[in-house]
Amino acid sequence: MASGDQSLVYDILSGDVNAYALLVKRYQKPILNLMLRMTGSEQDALDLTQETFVRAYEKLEKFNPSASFFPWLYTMGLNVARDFLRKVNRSPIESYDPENSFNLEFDQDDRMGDQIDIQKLQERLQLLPVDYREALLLRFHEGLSVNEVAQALELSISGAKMRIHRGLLKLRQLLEKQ
Amino acid sequence: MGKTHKNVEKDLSRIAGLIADIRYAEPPDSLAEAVLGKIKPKKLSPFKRLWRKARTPVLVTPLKLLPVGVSALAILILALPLLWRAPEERFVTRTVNQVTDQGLNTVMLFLDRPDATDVEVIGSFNNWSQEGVRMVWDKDRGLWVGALHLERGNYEYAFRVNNREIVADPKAILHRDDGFGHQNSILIIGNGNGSETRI
Repeated sequence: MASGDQSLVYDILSGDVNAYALLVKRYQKPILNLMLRMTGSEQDALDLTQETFVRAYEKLEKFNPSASFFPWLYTMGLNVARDFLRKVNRSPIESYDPENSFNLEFDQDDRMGDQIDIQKLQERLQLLPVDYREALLLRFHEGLSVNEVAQALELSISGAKMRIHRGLLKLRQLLEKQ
Repeated sequence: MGKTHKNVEKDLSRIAGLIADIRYAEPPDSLAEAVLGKIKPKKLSPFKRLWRKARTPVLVTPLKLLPVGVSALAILILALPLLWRAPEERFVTRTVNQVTDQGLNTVMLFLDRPDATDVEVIGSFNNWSQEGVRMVWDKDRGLWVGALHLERGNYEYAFRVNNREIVADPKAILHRDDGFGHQNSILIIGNGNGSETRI
């Protein structure tokens, strides 16, 4: 858990609405990108990111102060996205080209050598079932512990370990297919 | 067989490394502001507040405390002559627990510009009037200090230094482009439930 999340939550619950701005700024990027992966639409992703943070704020009293904030927020984000897709009667999208689909700016990356591999990986990752994909991103992109991945995806620790390992194997298979 | 297994593990480890390098889209600056515009300050009862504080883990063990204690003592001895400056850290822009007779909230602003000869606060609270709110130099704190009395709402503001240089509040969390190459700081005044609000 990023240092200070718990004391920020305490400040927010004590009435400091601006302390929430720090939490939003800290976690808006992974949540926005989760929504982009789920919907493939920039506008929907922005709306759902806002909705996730507003919903998290409204339910903050229910947050266990001894747990990590980000996995809790991520669970909420996934639920917000799933509710939205159910409402519009859609499945999570299966493919998108992030950099050509959105007006948003992307991280700078100077490592041109790995660029092709990463792009291919990103496309294949999108073909994985949501739970496998998100387990991999939480573990390796966000750097969460297996325990935190389990919290975020509402799995047991052994279930999260299995999801990560199988996710990697599935992704490897997809990458082998040209 | 063993070699194949080794190769698979190698592949998985490379894939994990590539996942870490995936590029993420950057959220627009306005996102946090939009969220804050949709929420209202919370009010937790003192009992619940205490209960939560008690349940919030403190990440310190007695073993960890020993070197910290020794270091703290050493730092304390070395830093004694500088200690009078330490409270400056607290001087970030904030709403203080004070409401004027007119029901306005008092906001304290601080700017660390010892080189300046004149500092004013300008902003949307008075429609960016040329006549800003003058800040005073606090010799003891070594800071420019100013107070605004504002109704609830969102405001943009900036400091005007030496009557020409416009600078955003370096301690503010939220900023917005003013469209002229500067950044304005954003101030959000809640319902003033007695808590100190950092901006």
